[in-house]
Amino acid sequence: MSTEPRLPSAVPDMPAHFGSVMAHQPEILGAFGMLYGELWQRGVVPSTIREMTRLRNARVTDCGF
Amino acid sequence: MLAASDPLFALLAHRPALAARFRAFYDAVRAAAPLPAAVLTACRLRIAAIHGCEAEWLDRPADLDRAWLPALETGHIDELPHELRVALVLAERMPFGHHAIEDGEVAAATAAFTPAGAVALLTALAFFDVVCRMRLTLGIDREPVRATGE
Repeated sequence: MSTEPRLPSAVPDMPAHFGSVMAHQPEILGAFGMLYGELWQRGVVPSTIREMTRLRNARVTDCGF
Repeated sequence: MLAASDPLFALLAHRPALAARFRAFYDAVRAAAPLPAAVLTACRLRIAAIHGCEAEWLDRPADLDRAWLPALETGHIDELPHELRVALVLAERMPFGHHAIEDGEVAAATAAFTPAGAVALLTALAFFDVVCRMRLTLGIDREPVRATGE
């Protein structure tokens, strides 16, 4: 596992992070944002449960972000 | 390839807006340039084989090179073309070994496919992994993904 970004930012003068790296593929990034937003904003599962499962998933997969 | 008759969509239809956005994301991943469609298909099948997800494993486009199938089933990819091996090395690790992905393996993908292609590839691999996990946990991993003749 790398602790440094493995791909460059696609946005001039912006450091590499999830959004700026994904910006290499604007259509994928846009579609991801719409899907993720749907999951978070209009879900039938209570937001507290969603947040807890997100955090637990982050721990299980060892994702510090 | 997520046909309209796919049982996964039948279940997602409980949430039509979610199904539509799920579909749009999948289509964006599949259409992402400059990644060859055959590379994406091979990676999807390899991830299906790793998961033992029969529905995905049996969903093969007509133009797929059938000579690749033994390698995609076993993971013994030494005889496959270079670009395909570069992608399959990452596909091999995505389901259960993503922490073991090395800098050099991502660099090889970037060299083979450009940064935009590497982003598309890694996104696709993660998504193929998700789709297999959804089929397995929903109990639809053995249901055909398309109707006969579709």
